[in-house]
Amino acid sequence: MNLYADSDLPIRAALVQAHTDTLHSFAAPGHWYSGAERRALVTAARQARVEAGLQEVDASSAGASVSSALPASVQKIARQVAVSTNDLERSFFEQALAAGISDAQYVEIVGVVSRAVNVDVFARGIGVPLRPLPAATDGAPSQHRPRTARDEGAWVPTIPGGARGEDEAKQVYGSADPQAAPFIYRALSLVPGEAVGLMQLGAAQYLEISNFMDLEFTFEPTLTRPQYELLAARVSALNECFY
Amino acid sequence: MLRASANARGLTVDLQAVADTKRDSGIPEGGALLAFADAVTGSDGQAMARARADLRRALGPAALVQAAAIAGNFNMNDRAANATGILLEGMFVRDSADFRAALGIDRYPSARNTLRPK
Repeated sequence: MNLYADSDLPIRAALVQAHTDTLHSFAAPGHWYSGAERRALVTAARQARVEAGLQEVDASSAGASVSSALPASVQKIARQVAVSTNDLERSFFEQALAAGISDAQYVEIVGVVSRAVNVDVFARGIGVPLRPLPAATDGAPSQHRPRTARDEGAWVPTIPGGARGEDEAKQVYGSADPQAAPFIYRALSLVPGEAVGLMQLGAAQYLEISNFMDLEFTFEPTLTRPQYELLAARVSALNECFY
Repeated sequence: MLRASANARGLTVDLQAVADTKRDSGIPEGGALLAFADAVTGSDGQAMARARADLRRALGPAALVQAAAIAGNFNMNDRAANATGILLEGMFVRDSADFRAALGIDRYPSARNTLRPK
């Protein structure tokens, strides 16, 4: 069934598919968290955004308990990233490490919550309720840590683009070309599944990296590229995102 | 990319409108787009409903869907960038220096991470 069957708006099939896949990824085992834990991360994020007035009341997560699935330190990160990252300093990440959360676990939390906010902001934008999460699927986290991930200047290790990232760069970024791996794609690459998820959503909603310098590119002819970019710039200004 | 894409279409964009939405950006229906960005990122439910209806009226239903997709995508990217302290590509550091200073972007907390020399 179409994820957005309740909307009268013309939603592209690629977008519906990307969001359907994303919601399923939240309920499946990740690299460091189980399906139940990842699902609880999204629920915690949604509850925080509803409490902050950033999202309309969500019947599916209202009253759902996340305390049994997630430690308080993990919930704290999820809630903060969901509501606002405007004032985050490196100390926020260091406090997570001090609380016993690994760098890769931190990246997985950031990835799941950031992607959930994307799908939830879209729902708010088109005026439909939050999409329900699938039931969690069984299975253990893969505990896969990329061997080429290294310090490239971010708080967290990242897989370099190009030859330095070896086969892992090709698998995650889809190309051995260093230009295929801007820092925003590398941000979550310590947890490759999250990096791939971010890129898939970006390709369906904004543009593929190969179209970045095509200044006429647009998915929708009634919204031009300068209009895309004005909207994107304002959202990033509100989120105080330098990148 | 805003300046480059506007130039490519022969438009003169006022980048200050990104920070001061009372200004005319120079982009067609820019006011409706900026109001939509503010509403979907903010906490005023009535403003959200109004901005959604205004944008749909101004640019049509498919543009509203695409605008929501872009707003969602950048709310994701901004969170991933701010929470991992990634750097900015050197090319963009160089090319954005003038309007970063003009718009106060260099004062964002995330600039402390992103502008660090690699």
